[in-house]
Amino acid sequence: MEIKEEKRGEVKIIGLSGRLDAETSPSAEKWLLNIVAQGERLLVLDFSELTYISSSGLRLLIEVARSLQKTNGKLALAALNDHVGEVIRIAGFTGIFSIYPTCEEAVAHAQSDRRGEQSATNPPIAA
Amino acid sequence: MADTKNRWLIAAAAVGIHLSIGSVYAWSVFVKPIVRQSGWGLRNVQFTFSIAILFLGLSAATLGHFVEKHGPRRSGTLASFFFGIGIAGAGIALKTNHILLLYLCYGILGGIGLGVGYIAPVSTLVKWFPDKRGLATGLAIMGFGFASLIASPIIQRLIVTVGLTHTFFLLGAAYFAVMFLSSQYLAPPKPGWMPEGYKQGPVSAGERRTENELTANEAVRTRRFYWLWLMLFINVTCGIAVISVASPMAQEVIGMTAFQAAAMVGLIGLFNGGGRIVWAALSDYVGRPNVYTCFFAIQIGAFFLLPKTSNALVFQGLLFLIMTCYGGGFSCIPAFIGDLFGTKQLAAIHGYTLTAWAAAGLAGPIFAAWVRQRTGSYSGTLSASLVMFAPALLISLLIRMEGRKPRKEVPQPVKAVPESLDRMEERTFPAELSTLRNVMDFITAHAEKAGLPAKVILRVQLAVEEAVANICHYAYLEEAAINFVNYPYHEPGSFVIRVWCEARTFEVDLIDQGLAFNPLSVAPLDPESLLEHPELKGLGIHLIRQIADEVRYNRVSGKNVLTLIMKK
Repeated sequence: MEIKEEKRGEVKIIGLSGRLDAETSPSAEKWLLNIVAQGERLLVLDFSELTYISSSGLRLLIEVARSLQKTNGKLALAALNDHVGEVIRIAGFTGIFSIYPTCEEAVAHAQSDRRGEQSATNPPIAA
Repeated sequence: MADTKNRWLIAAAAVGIHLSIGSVYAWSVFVKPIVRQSGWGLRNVQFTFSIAILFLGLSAATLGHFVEKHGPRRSGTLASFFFGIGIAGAGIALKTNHILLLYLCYGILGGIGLGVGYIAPVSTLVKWFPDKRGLATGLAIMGFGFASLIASPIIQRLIVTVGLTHTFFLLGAAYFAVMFLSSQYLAPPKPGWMPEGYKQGPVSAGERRTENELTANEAVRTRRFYWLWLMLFINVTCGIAVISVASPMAQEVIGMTAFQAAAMVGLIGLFNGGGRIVWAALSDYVGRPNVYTCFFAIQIGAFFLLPKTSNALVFQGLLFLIMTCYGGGFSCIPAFIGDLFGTKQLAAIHGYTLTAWAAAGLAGPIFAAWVRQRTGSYSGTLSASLVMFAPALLISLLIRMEGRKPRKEVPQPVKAVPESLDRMEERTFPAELSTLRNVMDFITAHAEKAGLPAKVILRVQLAVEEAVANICHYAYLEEAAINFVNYPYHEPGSFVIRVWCEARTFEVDLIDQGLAFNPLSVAPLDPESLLEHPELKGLGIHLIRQIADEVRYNRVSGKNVLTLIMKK
């Protein structure tokens, strides 16, 4: 598991590459929660390099979303491959997360939400 | 029947038994009145106590199997007869003026009642409190520690008002009643029983695995049994040594008055009893080996400082601290045994371990007297104890590294059926998440060989990972119940993965010997409630059911067999 960080405006983009499984998720979760703890409130997870996700990866997403909720932050997922998209769909998570086809769109939405131009109550369509 | 019992009442019954038999430590209250009434020698009368402790150890060691076989209720009932008759018999011995009858009754019969009464409820408690082993057994053994504190003033009062002989009759009847009634409520939980809220895993009622649980005979062939024995022996020997010098040392070195010293000795009992429950409860959180390491580290420090201080408060503080470790050494043992050897024959193994107590009961005073003679000072006794604590500390560290051996021939390591036969291949993996990568490599290699498309391979991986995670988390739950930090005391269980190809399908069997559990019996996941239940129970099973084309579950001769079927 490799984790890349990038800051674009107020948005923190985190690229996760490889597999998010029971073995790798705990350390990735620590990493992400640490980022939230540092005060980042707009998080976009770039999944373009993520090949595989299991329930432990999904647990991680819920944990990060919950900790962001406390600080009124937002979490968006971007660029899901077929497998990751399928798992998130069959887990019933599409209604919980904002999911975008590309990183750019996720960033744009996050920033516009921030400015209050658009309500965030309706997450866009799943990838 | 059994599972309708309240486990806290079981704990109360256990405390009742221990409060009764623990009164043996009040023997010193009897000594002077007996000598006065019978004219027997002081040493001869004191010797009764040594016989009782000796028979406690002997009966605990030899009757543990009886306790296992006949259950706690019958064993407790037996103990109440022995102990009650033993004490009442002491009254007859006094009346007829036969000291041998005193030895036979209070020493031998009472001692047997002690030994059986000590182990019978404890092993039952461990089974009722997989989540709070330390706390529960600590409660009972605390009862033992506090018993003399409660009994001594009552006995003194009784001797004055009704006379010595009748005191024994009354006590015998009272202790018999308490022990007998308490015993009637004792029963082990049904196999597979787990406390409410402890069923974190989707565990269905069913047989609990018995593999990997060591019998008493297997346990005594392990190194860790002797390490446990040695730790208890050293802790008790040194504890007895310091108790023996505490009062004279307080008066001669610290300059306390005889009255102050007597008050201090009374408080020793309080800390001995209190330490039992506090340390045992703590051990549920920090793990048993850590608690024993604490005992020895603290006592090394305290024994080192004790002769250096002349301040009465510091002296007593150190002494009381040592006493909590002395009591804690007793109370954490049953739970430690449960951790190391399983609960199958805990009573028998506990009984064997208690011979360390009996041995220390004999060795402790002799050791203290011998060192005293050689060195001629109290600090000599303390330094000698200090030397003994060093190996004990080392053992408490080493015992973590011991594997739970010897094991019965648990699954064969690698058993590959030649592919030409039926294209079936299987492999055994340890039930821990770190093995996941190996599992994935194994599965992926075979899925690729079967010509599955990349997309389906990812699905196979997902279904297998979820099934494996489930086994690692829940199947061997009893193992994980050891403590709340999941300290890896022993090897985890294992599971077998078997893969084969049919004409149109790729199939995977996951076979474990853990708690019976049918994942297909779990209620379907409700996505609406996901965020309200952040632990996401059942998510993995939900994924398996959604992603596999077919899932089958069978319980075959004590094993869970989960079959995942993927279309090619």
